[in-house]
Amino acid sequence: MAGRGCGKRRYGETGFEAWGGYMEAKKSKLENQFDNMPDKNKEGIFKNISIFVNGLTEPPAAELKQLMHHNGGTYHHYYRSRGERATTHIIASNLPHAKLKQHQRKLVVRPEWITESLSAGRLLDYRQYLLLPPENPLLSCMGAASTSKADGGAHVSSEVAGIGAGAEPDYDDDDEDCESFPPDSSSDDDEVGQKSDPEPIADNGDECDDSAEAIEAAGPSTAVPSAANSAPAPPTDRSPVKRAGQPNFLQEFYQKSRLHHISEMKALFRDYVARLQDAPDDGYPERARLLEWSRQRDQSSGQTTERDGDDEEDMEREPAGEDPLTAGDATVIAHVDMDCFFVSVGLRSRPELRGRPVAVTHSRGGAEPAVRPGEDRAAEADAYRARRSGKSAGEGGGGSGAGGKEPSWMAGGLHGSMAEIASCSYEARAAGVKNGMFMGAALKLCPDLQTIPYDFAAYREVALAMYDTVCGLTRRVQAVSCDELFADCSELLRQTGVSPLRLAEYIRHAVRRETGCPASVGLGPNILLARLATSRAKPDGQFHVPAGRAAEFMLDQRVRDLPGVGRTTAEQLHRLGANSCRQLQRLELAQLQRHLGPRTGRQLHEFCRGIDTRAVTPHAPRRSVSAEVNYGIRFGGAAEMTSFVNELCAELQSRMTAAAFLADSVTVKVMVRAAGAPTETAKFMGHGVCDTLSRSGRLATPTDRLETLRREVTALLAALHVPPSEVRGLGLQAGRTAATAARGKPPAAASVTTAPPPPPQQPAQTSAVVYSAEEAARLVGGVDQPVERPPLPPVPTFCGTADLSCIRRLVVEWLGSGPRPEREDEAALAVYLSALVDARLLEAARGLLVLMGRRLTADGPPQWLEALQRLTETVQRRVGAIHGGMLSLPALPRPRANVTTATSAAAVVTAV
Amino acid sequence: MAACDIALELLETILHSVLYLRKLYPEAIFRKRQKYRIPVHMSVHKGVNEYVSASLRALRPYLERRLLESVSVVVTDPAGRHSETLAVELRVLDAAAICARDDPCLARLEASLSGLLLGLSATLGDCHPPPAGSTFQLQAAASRCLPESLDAAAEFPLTITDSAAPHGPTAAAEDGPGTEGCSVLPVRSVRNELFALEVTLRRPTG
Repeated sequence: MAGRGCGKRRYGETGFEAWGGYMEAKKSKLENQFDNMPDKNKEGIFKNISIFVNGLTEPPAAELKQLMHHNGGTYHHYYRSRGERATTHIIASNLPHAKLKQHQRKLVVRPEWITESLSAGRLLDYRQYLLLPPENPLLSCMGAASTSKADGGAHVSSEVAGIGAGAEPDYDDDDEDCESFPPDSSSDDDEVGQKSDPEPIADNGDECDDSAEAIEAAGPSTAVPSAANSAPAPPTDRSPVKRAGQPNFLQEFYQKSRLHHISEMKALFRDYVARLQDAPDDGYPERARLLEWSRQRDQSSGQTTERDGDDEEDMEREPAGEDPLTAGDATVIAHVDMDCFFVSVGLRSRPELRGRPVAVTHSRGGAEPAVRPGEDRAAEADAYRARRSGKSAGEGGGGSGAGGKEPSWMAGGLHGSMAEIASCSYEARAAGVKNGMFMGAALKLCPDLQTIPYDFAAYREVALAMYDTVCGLTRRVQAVSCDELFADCSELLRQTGVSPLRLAEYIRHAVRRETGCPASVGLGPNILLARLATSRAKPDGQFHVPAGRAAEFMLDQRVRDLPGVGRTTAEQLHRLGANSCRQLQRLELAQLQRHLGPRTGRQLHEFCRGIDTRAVTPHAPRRSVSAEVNYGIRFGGAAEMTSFVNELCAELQSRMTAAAFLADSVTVKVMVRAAGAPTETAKFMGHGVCDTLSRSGRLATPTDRLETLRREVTALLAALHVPPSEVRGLGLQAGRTAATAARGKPPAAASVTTAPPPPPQQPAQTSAVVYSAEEAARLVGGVDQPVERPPLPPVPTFCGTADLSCIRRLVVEWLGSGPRPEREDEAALAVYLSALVDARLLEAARGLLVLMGRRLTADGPPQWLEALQRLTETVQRRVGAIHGGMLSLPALPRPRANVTTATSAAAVVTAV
Repeated sequence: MAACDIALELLETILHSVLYLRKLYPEAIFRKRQKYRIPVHMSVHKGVNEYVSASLRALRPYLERRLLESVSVVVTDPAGRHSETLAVELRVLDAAAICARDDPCLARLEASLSGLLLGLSATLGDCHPPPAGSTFQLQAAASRCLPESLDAAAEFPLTITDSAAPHGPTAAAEDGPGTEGCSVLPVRSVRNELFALEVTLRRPTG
């Protein structure tokens, strides 16, 4: 009997083969019918949109079909996944779980998208109407959403659209540990090397903490405001917000962290510029356009009279007054900086918000979030204040009460939203809102502040267009970040004969043409002055500081605006009586160096006079790669921390691979809850007030191997003795010295891991005899003299026996023989272990060490642990001498007290 | 010399096992064979077998004159970096010992060799194999060069590695810029009447 399992019935020829089968033919027929319906409107807001309606919708499918028909869209009776006429959107109000799963990777949009687009008279952003987000693992299991018939769709979509919906208590202590540099100056740490610790664990560096606010977006907050009255459970228990240590935490964290995206883009553009240097010359297409544009300008403003404005205006807006550069002129650096980048990119698709105060943030400024148990903002603020005042008092200057300052986030009151504003428009700035401010505080200053979400893909696209434009003029470009770059325009100006300000004007014009976003351009004889000129040029302007006027220009600059001067340094300088560069110039070099260190002192001494020797470097090798997380870290135990550390190591390693980076040192940075800080932070899952501990270790050879990194990191972390429950942040940084950098590989595309595996290799055609260089020289000369190998030592004995199982028993007995090992016994064992290595019985030596390591636990008697450590070092030294390497051992227990030996194993090797 | 025959047979078995265990060739070209009373994987691919056996034949003169110090499988990852080296350090102790064909001696020998192969599969099975697409090279270290083996007219000419033995065991003690800092994992050591043999897996630290 032909049951169900017997497979498809085979039909004979149906006559539809030519159309690709019956169903294909039917679909095509229906589409043709639709296309050929009378009075079809080909042009309309739904041009190029084709929908497929699934299930009952409001308005119903027939009506949607009519709507599409009259407005240029296409209506599909069957879902088409492929082809040039594929369905672009599925329309549904409500989907059963099975279909939710089925359509996970497709765009499922609520019908309101169509009706509201129609009433708005333009195609609205469908993302606001998604029924379920494409490929969002967080929300993919939303059975509940579809079962609640009444508001299911709407509820889900609000959760979706509001990645970051709801007022989320965010917390950021930007101000705490990253005081030395303002956010934007971190970007050139690599080149300047002005800090002792070059790149403060890149990915979050200065701007660290907030990197996380994204995750809480999908967090419990959406539900909390309404449910808050009925006893809220501790968020860690039931929240879908992942904690570190849980699977996929890192992946999700980095997916949503804006700082991760920013730093990724920075690396991307550095690489992009570096690769451009090697690309063949394309004749700088933008230069021709510049000349053409410049000519037109000349014609149109040919009648302009030479104005005698004051100098300021002259420098700012009057390009005609300037002479083109001549060959003898000094360099001109341009600093191109997009104006409130995130906002202006976001406004491209939201023209209705132009001219209004707008902020880019995860928060949407909803109701005030519920207070979580354990959260105590007042206490946290106290801890914060105490710390600030302690710090400034400790720094030994008669601090003028700056210590007692409120943390910025308290401005939002005890309950305001702590989502951070990444960027805000000039209209919002006029109301006092600043970048980095919290939503709670910002809303108090500017109640009608509009918020728009992040759109990283668009940022990338716009940034690329900006880079392309500038690189079309000159390739002497240094990428600073996604919205900021330096370009050395000296050659360009000489070649084209255009005046600097006209060039600046053209760059702004071209950037706006390509991206639709405003940019400001500052020009100066060096990087410092170009950057300072930009801050004068903003918003949407240009400013040139000619070399001759640099000194005069510098006098009025604020000390705070100098690169490298953060809050701490500014406070120190304030105590020295220097708030402006004019005042700073009066200070002696020695005085500065005494207070700020030799390097920073010298640099400030030069900077305040407008001297900056840094050159525009298109290709600066990376000095460090890092991965850091300080959000969502609440370890339940040591095991969770270990697994998270492993995950972070893997992340670091994959970043190193992507950057073709070999490290010779590793730094572990741990943020630990400060004594007195509340356990639950004001910012949900944030890190609160913390002490930061860090420790570095050197690696024996430059490497990007996961095992090495993991071992080193584990050892360093163990040496810090941090209780897992108190950890609030963890960062890893892999660094390399200049010498290693030179030996490192050239940057490669990150395709190493994705390359398809090659077919089985053919064996090499020859085998090879290997010997040392001097032997080669001697032997190839043809001198045939016998070479004696040193005789192999006999199998060594221990306590009169050579039998290994016997010796293992003896060693185990010895370990239990007393509170401390006898010196003689230890020495005898050391001799025996070395002899084993010499007799090429390394395996036996290793076996004994591992045996001892297993017997002694980390909390065992420290004398024994020290003995084991000495024995291990003896063996390692022998192995180094004979095999030229380091015996690979599992982690042996280390004595607690001796934390500084965390890297001793590596040290032994280098010593040998 | 009997000892040389045994040593070469053992080396051949070790090399095949290493190719299998380090996944340098697809599993399909290997078949289970019994050696020293235990199952091992040997290649049935003609080209591979020929390469291994010809290399070993070319090394025979070195072994007979006790010049051979070690034979290594040097694995290079697709990016051209050294991935790992499996080094077999070998000395023939007494070439004549085996001539007395007494059973206890042979039985002990067999036991030690099967122990070696078991240790090999246990240890190498636990280590991550080199990345897919890696290539390998057989390298041998000798205390002296036999000019005839380098002769292009020889059946299977050897070449001198110009890389000055980046990871070979002998060069390590003297200089070798890349050698310090590699991690040495002992796989198995064997010492019997015939020869002393130590197998180690060296990797750039990690």
